[in-house]
Amino acid sequence: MRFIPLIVARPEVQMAIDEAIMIARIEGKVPDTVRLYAFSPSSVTIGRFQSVRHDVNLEEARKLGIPVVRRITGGGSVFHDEFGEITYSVVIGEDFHPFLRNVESSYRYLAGPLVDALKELGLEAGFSGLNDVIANGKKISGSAQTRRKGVILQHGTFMYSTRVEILGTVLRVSKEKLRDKGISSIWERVTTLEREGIKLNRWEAYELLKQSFFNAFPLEEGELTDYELELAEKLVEERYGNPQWNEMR
Amino acid sequence: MKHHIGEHKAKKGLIRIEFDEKNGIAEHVKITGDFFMHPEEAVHELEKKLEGHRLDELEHLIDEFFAMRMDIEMPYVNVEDFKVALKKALEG
Repeated sequence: MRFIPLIVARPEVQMAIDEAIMIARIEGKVPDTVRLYAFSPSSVTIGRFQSVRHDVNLEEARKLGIPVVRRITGGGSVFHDEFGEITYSVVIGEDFHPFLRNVESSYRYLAGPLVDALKELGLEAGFSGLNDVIANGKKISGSAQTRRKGVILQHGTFMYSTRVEILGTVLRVSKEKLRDKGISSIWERVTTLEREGIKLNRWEAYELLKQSFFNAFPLEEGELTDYELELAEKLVEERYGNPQWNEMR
Repeated sequence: MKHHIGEHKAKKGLIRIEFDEKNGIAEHVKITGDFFMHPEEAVHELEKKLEGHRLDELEHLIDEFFAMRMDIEMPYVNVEDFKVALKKALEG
């Protein structure tokens, strides 16, 4: 199983690499893969079905220089702070472990290393709902997954010092959702390592997560193949770098 | 032409259904939100299934769509959630 070291890049490149790995894995050209990455500049990714008009303040995002890219996976919007968030992604065959057949248990199995990392820092950590990881009772990580032809792509966020107030200006959270959660702002239920009193820089957060994934999976450090890089380049052009995709709904 | 929009929060994710009503027919049907469904293309197919039909047929078409698509996975979301979002859109 392959581990791809930290890649720092624009959101359209990161989303294209995740999909390229998934395509190559479905075609049997690459092994199961874990990677860690960071977005530069700070970016927003939105879920596959989200509405740009209802769920994002595009004008504000442009003003702040925050690109908005639509993911291949469902779920909600994520603010990827350049210096406050690391994203993980796992591309893995469903037959790797019995937990992967069921959607709920697969989220927990694949995001397990995040919970291990938080516990190692002394935080009370666990899973919440379908796809969230909580630390001291508040959401610190969310994941999204898709499945195609027996292969799972799951990616998710790990907030170590995300400036949560910035997202409030870029994202529009529906009243229906706030009402359901009994809060007036989505950020009342979100936290970061920093907010829990643990200050890590990007490299410390990266090393922590890397070690945790290496403990959980039989990983060997590797790199992206030329085939994946070519696929990714094509996907940036046709999809993730294209307003027709990003603003399609 | 009247624009209808309805939102419903399922156990996991918000489902929003919107469309324009023209002579009792639904046009420009859009289903958006932060729910999960795979294969993801199924959402586009559901929109297409509802497009151009009479408003009073939409609920039945949603039932029919999911009854025929056994390959669709929707964690913590079910057919009823889509129907509630539709009802809210029809009321709005």
